[in-house]
Amino acid sequence: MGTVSGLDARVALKLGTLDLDVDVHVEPAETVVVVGPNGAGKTTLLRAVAGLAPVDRGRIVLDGTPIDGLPPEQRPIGVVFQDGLLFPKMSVLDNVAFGLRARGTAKREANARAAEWLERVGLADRAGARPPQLSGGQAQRVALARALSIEPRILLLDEPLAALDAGARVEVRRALREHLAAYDGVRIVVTHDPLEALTLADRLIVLDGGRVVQEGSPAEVRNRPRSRYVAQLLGLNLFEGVLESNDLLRLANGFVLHVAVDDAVIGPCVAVVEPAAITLFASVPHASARNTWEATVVELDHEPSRVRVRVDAPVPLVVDVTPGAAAELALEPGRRVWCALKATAVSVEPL
Amino acid sequence: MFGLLVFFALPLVALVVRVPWSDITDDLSDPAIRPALRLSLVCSVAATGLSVVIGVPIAWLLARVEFPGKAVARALALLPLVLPPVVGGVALLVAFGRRGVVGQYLDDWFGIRLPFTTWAAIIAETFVAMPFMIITVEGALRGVDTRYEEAAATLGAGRWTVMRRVTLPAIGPSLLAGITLTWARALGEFGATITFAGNFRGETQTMPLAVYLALQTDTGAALTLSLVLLVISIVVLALVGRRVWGR
Amino acid sequence: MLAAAAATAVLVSACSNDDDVTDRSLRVFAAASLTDAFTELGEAFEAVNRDADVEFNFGASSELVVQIQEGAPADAFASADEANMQKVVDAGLNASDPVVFARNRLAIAVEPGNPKGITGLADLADPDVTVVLCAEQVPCGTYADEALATAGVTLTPVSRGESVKATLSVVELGEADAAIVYVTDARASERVDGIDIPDEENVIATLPIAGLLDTGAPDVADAWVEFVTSAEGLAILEEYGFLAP
Repeated sequence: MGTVSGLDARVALKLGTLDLDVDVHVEPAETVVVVGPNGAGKTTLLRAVAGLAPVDRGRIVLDGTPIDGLPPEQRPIGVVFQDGLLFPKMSVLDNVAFGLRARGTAKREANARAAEWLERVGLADRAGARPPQLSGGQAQRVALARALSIEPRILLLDEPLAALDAGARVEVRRALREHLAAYDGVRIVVTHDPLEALTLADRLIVLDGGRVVQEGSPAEVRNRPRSRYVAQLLGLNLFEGVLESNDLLRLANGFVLHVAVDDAVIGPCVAVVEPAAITLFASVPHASARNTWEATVVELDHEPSRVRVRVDAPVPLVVDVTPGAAAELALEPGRRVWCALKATAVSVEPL
Repeated sequence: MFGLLVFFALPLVALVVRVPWSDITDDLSDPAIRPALRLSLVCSVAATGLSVVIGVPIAWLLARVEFPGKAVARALALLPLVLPPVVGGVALLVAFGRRGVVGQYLDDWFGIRLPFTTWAAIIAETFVAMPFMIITVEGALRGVDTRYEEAAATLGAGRWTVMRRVTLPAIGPSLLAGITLTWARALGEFGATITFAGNFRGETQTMPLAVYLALQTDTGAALTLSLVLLVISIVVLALVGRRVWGR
Repeated sequence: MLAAAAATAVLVSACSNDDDVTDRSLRVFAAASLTDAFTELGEAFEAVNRDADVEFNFGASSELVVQIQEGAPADAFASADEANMQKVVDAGLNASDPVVFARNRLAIAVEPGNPKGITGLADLADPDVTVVLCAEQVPCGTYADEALATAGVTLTPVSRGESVKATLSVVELGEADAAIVYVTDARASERVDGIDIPDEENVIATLPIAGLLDTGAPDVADAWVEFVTSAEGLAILEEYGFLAP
C-alpha cells in the first residue's frame, strides 16, 4: 500500500482532453512542488486532492486514512487559490475567521485566532478592510492566513504567485517561504513558474500530459532533466546567495558574482542567469564582462539550433552556444574554457 | 424616448389631478380605508416572506441541480406568470377549498378552512407573485462565480453555510430586486384574491378590492384610495430602488 | 423601437371596430341577474329582426353605471334597481324615461339537497352555516341587507361577492352553505336549490330599462326596449322567474 504517514494520492481521471493518471506521495513537513506546462493536469490534481474534481479511479490516503470519499468540507485541507478568492462582502478578519467558524469555533475565539494569523502575515492593521481594498500581494497573504488558520493537515497552493505583479510576488514568496517552513503538514504547491518551483520546493514533481515525467530534488531534476520540457523549464542558472551591496553577490559556496542592481535589497536573494547570457572563450578573455572564470566542460547536449553546454566549478552552469561556436571552440567533455558573464546580465530577486 | 415615459406616467398624473382634493379629509376617514390598507400591507409582506422562504430554494434547485423533468418543473414554477389571476384563484379554490382536492382533507381531518380567510389572501398573493422571485433569483444564481463557493467548501463550510454566508450575500442586490418585484405584485393582486379569499372588510378586503367596489358607489373615494396606494408604492419603490440600483 | 410602436398602433386600431359596426348591431348593458333571461330575449329579438345583432355586457349594475358614465359604448341599460338607473338619469345619459319592465325577489340559494336544512333567513344566523352575500355596493347586496334587517337577523358573511353571479358561484362550487341571491338566479342554476323567502321578509326589486343617448342605433335601441316591455318579452322573463312590473 502506501506508507503510514503523509499523503498518498493515486488519481486517475479524464476531464475534457486531459487524461490524468498519477501516483504521488508527499511526506509531512515536506513542500512538494508540482510543475508542468499549462494543461498538464497540475491544477486538476490539486482539485482532486481537495475534493473539487471527481476521480474516476484511485485512492487518496492521508496518514493511513482514506479521504477520497469525503466532500471538500470534510477533508482536512486548506487551499490558497491563484486569485485569492477572498469573500468580497466580508471583512479581512471575517475572511480569515471563516474556516474556523464554519468548522464550529465560536465567533469570539475564531476572531481572536484570525487576528493572530493576520499579525503573523503582517496585516493586522487591515483587519477591518474589505478585500477589494487590498493590493494583490496583501490579498494573497490574507488568503494564506485564511488557509493556515484552520490548521489543515494538507496545504494546497494553486499557482499562488501567478496573478501577482513582480513586487507582490517577492512579498508573497517571502511570506510563503516563512510560513511553509513553519507549517508541519503536507504541502503541495502547483506552479508553472520555474523560479517559484526552484525556490519553494523540497521535492519537485514534473507533470506533463497527465503523467509524472520526473521526480526528485530540484538539483537532481535540473541536473538530470529527463525531457526537453524539463530542461527548457528548469535549465536556468539559479543560485541562492546573499546580496552584499549594489554590485556584489556572494553565493552559498563563497563564490562572488559581480552584479548591477538598482535599489539593492541587502540580504538573501536568488540570482538567475540565462544560459544564453554566458559567453565561452578558449582563453582568458579581455572583455567588459565583470565576471570571468575558468571552468571545465562536463557535458554537451546537441540540439538543432544550439548546443547546451554544462560546465562545473566554481559554480555548475548551463551555457547555450551555437553549433558553429561549439565546433570552433572544439568543445568536448573535459575541455578547459573561460566563461564570461556581464554583471548586468545577472537578475537578482530578493528572497 | 421621453414620449414613451410620458405615456406611462400619464394615467398616474391624471389620477392625481382628478382626486377630489376638497373632499379628501372625508374620504380619508372612510372606515373602509384603514382595514383595507392594513390588510394590504400585512398580506403583501407575508406573501413576500413566503416567496423568499419557498421561492429561493426553488430557484437554487433550478439553477444548480440537474434532475429529470426539470423543464416541466420550471414551467410549473413560472406558470402563474402567464395564468390570468382569476384562473389562479379558481385553481386555488379547487385545490384548497372545503370541497377541494386537498382542501377537503384539511377540513375533515384538521378543521382547517382556507377560503375567505386572511391566510387565503396571503396564499393567493404568494401564488401570483412568487414566480417573480424565482425568476430573479435563478438568474442571479446562474451568474454567480462558483469559485467562491468552492473556496468556502475547502474551508469546511457545508452547503447551508455556503448558501448563507457566501451565495446569498453575493446575489444581494438581485435578491432585493426580486423581493421588491414580488412585493409590488402581491400588493396589486386582485383576481386571485377576490376569487379564493373573497371580499370581507377587515379579513380579506385588500386595497385593490376596496378601490374596485368604491368605484361603483363613490368615484371620489375610489380616486382617493387609489392615491393612497399610489403614494405608498412610490415611497417604497423609491427607497428600495436606491439600495438596489444605487441611485 | 419605431417598428414596435407602429405595430402596437395597428393592433389597437384593429381591435376597436367602431367603424365596422353595422347600424343594426345593438349593445345592451344589463344587470347580472338578467343574464339567462336577456340572452333568450336577445335570440328572440334577432329571430324577429333579421338584421339585428344583439350583444350583451352583463355585470353588477353599479359597475355598469361606472362604465356608462365613463363613456362606454352602450345603446341600452337594464338595471337591477332604480337607484343605479337614477345615477344614469342624473347624469343626463338616458335617451328617454326609464320604464320598469320586471320585478324580482330574493331567495336563498343552498347546495343541492339542502344539507344544512335551511328553511329561512333565521337559519342563516347559525354559526355553523357559511353564508355569502353580495357586496353592499351592488343592488343585490343592498336588498339582502334590507331583507335581513326586516327579518331581524344579524349574520356575518364569509365574503361579499362583487356581483350576484359571483356570489352564487361560491355556493355552486360548494364553498359556502348559502347565499342570498335573486329568485331568478336560484332557478337558473342547476347546481343550487332555492329556498323561498316569505313576502313579509322579502324585498321586491324593481328593474328599469332605458335607451341611452350616446347610441349609434337609436331606432334599434327603441325597438329593443319595446320588445322587452312587450307581452312576449314579459312571457320570457316570467319563464325565468321574474315577476310582472
